[in-house]
Amino acid sequence: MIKKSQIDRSLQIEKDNALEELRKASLPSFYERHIKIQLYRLLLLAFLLAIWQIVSGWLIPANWIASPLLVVQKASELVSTGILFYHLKATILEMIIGSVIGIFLAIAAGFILGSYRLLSDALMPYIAAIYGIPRIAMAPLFVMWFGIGMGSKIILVAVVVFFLVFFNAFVGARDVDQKYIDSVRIMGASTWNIFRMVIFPHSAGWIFVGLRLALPRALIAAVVGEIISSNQGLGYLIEESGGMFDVAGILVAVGVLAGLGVLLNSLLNLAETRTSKYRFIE
Amino acid sequence: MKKQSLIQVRNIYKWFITRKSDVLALEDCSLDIDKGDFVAFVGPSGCGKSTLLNMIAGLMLPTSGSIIYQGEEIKEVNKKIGYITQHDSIFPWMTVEQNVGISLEIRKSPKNERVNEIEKFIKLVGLEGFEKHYPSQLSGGMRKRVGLARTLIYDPMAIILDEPFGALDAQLKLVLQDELLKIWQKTKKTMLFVTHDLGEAISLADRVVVFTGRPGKIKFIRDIPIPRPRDVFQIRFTAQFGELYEEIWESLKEEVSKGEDL
Repeated sequence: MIKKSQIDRSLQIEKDNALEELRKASLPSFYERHIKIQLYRLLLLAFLLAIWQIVSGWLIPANWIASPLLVVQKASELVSTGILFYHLKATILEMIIGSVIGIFLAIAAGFILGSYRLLSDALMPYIAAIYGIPRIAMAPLFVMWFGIGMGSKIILVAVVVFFLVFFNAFVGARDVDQKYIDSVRIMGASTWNIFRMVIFPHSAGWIFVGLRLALPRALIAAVVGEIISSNQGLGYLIEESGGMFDVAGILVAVGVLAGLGVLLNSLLNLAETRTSKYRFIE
Repeated sequence: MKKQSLIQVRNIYKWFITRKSDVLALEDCSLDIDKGDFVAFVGPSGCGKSTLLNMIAGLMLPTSGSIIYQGEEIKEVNKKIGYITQHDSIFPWMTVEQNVGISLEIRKSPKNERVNEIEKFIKLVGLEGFEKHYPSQLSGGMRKRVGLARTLIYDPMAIILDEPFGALDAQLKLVLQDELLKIWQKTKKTMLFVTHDLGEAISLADRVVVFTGRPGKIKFIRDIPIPRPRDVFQIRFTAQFGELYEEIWESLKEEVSKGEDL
């Protein structure tokens, strides 16, 4: 005699198989959509490049808008001579050093002011006043104070990054629910414990929002600083190419900057999913 | 001579001063709680019961009066007490095992000891298999269990529970009450349990403390002589429970309806 449980089990297996079939049947439409999106992207790119190539030198003189072929030629020349890398290195270094300084100071200041209400209430009008100044406008001042080398750009980047990250770190720290803090205070947590276990992880989301705003602007700050006055960097390359009416040179530098922007964004995405796992679970 | 109580509340007054209004939250409260007692606090909302417990936890200081805990006056955060709030204060950015281990990390206890303890307490509250889960992946009842394990693990003499089961559905509430009683019997902790639910207070506690509406005063304290171990699922249908409920509700009702007028 067949037991009821055996029948149940075989029914269950049948059901599972049917579900698996359904899942497989719905896969092609999923991949199809994915492939289509990629295809459309490539088509659009090819179309734009073609138009650009046709227009340049025909409707618009090539010394106004260099054709894609000319830009590629210029790029390979700049790469093979090492000139591009030399300038790229300077800009990236300024960005990294400036950003690290800016982020570190911003998080420290944000957490301190966010945790001590009295201090932040007292300082708020001053902070708001400084926040209102467009930081880029201070570029000439920094060049005057810190010279035309990398120092002035690093400081400009740090200042730009500082304010954008600071406000987010501050709000993140201020908005921590007191009950979270109390729950560890009662276990004997030190101020450092509270920062590390509660305030930092709680503000991480806010800080990443700040970084998303700050890092692209840090790149802009470095380049603007270089354009104003410098002897190296992508901004310098743009400025120098402009001076020689070398449109292809400018476009190469601009293209590299766009690439850097995309790279920065994906690095940030990676860092955020790595550090705040709990916000990325379904 | 009478043995000294674990917690002695002496003539507590608490004023809250804000820009909008000044509120007298507690007026002349005195109370003794012995070691191992299960005490429930009931009263209308805003009557200051949570304020009193916050002061026993040392998170707030009384405007006047004093609270003695284990023979010492509380003047700063009381690190010998556990605190579980209504909205679970377990950290969403930590997994179950990280949450349970917070106090051990603060105390810098050795790694292998930590792992054993965490395992033991996760088992005690019945959360085996969920060690690596984040709170957002758990149900409301499971999050309560995490909070309980996180508090029990550092072995405080007393535990404050501020409406811990307030937001849960009725069935789950009973299940967790039952588990709490079992854990209490096993660990012999002193429990200070705030609740809106008079039935819950009577089923769990040795004594029920009834507060008046604002300003909060202790109206009266009723012993609950229902024998232990208690069955929280059945207790509500006994005559003794019904009588106690009626008696305490008579007095609580006045306060609750007074609160309505505010």
